[in-house]
Amino acid sequence: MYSQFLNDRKALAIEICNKLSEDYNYVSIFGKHANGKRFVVNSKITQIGDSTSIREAEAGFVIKVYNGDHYSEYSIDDLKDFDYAKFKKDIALKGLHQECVAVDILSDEPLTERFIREDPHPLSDDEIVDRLEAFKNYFTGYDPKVVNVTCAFVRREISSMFISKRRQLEQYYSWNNCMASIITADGDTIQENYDGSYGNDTKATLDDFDAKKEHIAKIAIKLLEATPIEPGVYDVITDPTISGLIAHEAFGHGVEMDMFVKNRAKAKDYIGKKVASTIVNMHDGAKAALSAASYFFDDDGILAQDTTIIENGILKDGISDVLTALELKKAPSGNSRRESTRRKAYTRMTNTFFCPGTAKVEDMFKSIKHGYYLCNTNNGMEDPKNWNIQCTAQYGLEIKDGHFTGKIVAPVVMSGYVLDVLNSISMVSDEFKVIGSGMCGKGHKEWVYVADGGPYLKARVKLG
Amino acid sequence: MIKELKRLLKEKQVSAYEILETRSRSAQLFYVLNKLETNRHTENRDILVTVYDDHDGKRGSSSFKAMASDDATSLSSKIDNALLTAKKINNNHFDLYQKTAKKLKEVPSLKADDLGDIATRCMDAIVKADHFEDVWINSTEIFVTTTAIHFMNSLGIDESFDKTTLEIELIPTSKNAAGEEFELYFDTTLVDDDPEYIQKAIEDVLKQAIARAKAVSYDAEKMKPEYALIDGEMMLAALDGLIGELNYFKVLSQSNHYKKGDQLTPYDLNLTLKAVIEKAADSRPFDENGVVLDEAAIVVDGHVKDYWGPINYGQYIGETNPSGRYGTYELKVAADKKIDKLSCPYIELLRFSSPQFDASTGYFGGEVRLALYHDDKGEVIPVTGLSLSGNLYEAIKTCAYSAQEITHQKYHGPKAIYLKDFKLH
Repeated sequence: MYSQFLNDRKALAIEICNKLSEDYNYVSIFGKHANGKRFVVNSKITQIGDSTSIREAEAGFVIKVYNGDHYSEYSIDDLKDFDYAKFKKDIALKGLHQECVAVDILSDEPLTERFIREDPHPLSDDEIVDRLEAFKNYFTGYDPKVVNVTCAFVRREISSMFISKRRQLEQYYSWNNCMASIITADGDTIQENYDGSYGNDTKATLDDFDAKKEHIAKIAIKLLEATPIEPGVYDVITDPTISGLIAHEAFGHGVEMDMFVKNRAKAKDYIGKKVASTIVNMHDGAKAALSAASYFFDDDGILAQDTTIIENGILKDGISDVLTALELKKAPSGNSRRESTRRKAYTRMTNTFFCPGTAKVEDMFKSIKHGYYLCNTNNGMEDPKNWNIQCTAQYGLEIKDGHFTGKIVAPVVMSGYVLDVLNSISMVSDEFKVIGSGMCGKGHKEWVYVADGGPYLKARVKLG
Repeated sequence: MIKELKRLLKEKQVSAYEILETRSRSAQLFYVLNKLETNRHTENRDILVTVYDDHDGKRGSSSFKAMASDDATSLSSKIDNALLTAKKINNNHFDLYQKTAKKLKEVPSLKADDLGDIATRCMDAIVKADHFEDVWINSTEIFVTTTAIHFMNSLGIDESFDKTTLEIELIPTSKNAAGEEFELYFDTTLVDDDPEYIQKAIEDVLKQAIARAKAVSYDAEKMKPEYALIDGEMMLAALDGLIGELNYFKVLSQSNHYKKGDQLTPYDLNLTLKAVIEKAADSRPFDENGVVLDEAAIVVDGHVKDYWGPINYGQYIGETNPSGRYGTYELKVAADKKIDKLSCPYIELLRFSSPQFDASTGYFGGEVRLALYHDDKGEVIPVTGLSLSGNLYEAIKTCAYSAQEITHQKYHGPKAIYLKDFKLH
């Protein structure tokens, strides 16, 4: 349900916006009220309560103004505390000795709309806890080598409001994540497997997790046999989580256009050029899929969109926040996102994925002479300036002559030059999935929820 | 709001509770190519409340956040819901932190005069450092933040402290003779706003960026380093990994590799968690449960002496005097494991894409963006295009350390670890 708090502050937001517009060329107010609940059922402890992370629980506002010289933002918890004289004093910069970036005034196209996306099948807290307890008991009883189990469910509910002179937007949406971490031990060997389900439908999310729990348990035990991989260059098949990680790291960060403005991204010189194998297509957008980053408008009041990043191997476009779009003189793509109202909005990815192709997954495995099936995203890092990427898979399964040998390696770090990786993609499956359980930082901070994914890919990469 | 919360908790006869209040105020500056793009001012407050319910020898708890959106009615309802939840949770009993004679340590902090002034003076120092040929700063972000932390519990603990820190994130970019550009990432949090100190730190980063532009591909045939030196992020990822292995929760979840008395290293290595380290920005006098911190030796003479962590997990595993959660630590090693100067070929792994550590397997490593190869003739060659991998639990047994010491945001000790057991590929 849309936030009563934001509803109650709407008139005041309009009043402050009008008042500030007398002195500033551009004024907007972004308000956010996020609530979440976390359910954690562990072998030894249970924790249930409201979310306390700033990304899942906050009430706050950002007032953005343009003073003819540069943009300023003011972050407070409640507009009731707004004091005009204090605001002017606090955003003034007395000792500034540098020039300002030359920018224009942000456009303010008229639009008034309210968007609502409810959970179609919510469950009570007790029902969720019962389901988690059942999952925990299943994993605990699966094998004596299982020594600890954590099953968790997180529900996020986001309301936000954007007010400017000519725009009044409101939205409410929710998202759920269910996950498990299984710790196994055999002598001195200790391993952990984790996996999860997600969706805006609570019941469906838990049902999906139920369907995959056996696989999660099986891998948790299998990981006890894992050995380090012999570093080298291999043919690999990536599962949709690793495909998504490659999309995210290889060309997601690379086309965040605030990096173009800062001359930090090589991609800016490659728009319209071939960057990947011709069977590669890639999109980003809050509207491109229904997943963890599917909002209706971004944190600067721009409606959600679906951006084609790569089409048949050609780099088509990047994604942008409002200030970046203004500096590049293009329309913003709806990718202004903030970790919270306490932080600046940057160009950020939303739902980023490779599009499905035509290959059958079984044919892809059969085509491998010697390589690995890489599974389960761990983490990744990009270098948009020089197009180096590093993606870590939780584990890899060895394939020889088209068959799994039964050998498992873990963890597996894949690194390489973006164009080499993307141009090496030789098969793209017709099966496809967007994984709604990711988080992404900008540099080493500014964490936001993202989704990424895609089909199974066949590529040739360096593993270590 | 705190007053209202305490009134409601009393009215509802909540016998055990904790309140953690964090107020923050910041000045933030965002530059593109040394030109100001945006400035921000923030003033925010977080209040985290945990209520406990004791039943059948068990203790249940539930937390909520009191936010600006709350009034007396919604706060009352949040307390009721939390109590109801706590009643259904059957965790083992643990005792909340009680008053002791321990005094709060003073944490290092900037003087919180005018946060905007500190930020603009910092930028002036950065611009002053930006004087080298073929290197420049593409992006700079400065955050000056005053954080005031106030903890209260139902046993009468009522403590607070505040500190002001300066965080700098910048992206130096350099170009080589062919005009190709390269960048590095730099992020630090300081409690020292001395312009000369900042200028020197930024100059060092810019010099690394220059080396990055000159870097050649790593040649495994010709380059045969006997040691690989890790410092900064990679060293901290490794040490954090070791320390994390000794956390109460790892013991509770039976996923710890080390037990008390186990030998980590065949030489004297001492890891001590400390409440306060001079110039370390993550220093703090108490933790989220109000536990007054002092110091806790967790590895002594190469052997695991103690575990550490939150008091509830500590009590769950039978610790009678659990340590609390520390933010900073100190490493000391035997004199004969310190190396002042190497005469053999070695490689300094200065910058990684993202240092990796996997606690399950002990794997550590990652893609190296910049390294300096020192050959046996004293020549220094910047190299790139290589990855490090190793097993921390094994590598720690054979490594040495730099004689030079350093203080980071959360660490004091040798500036670098000299790995003998590693793979470069």
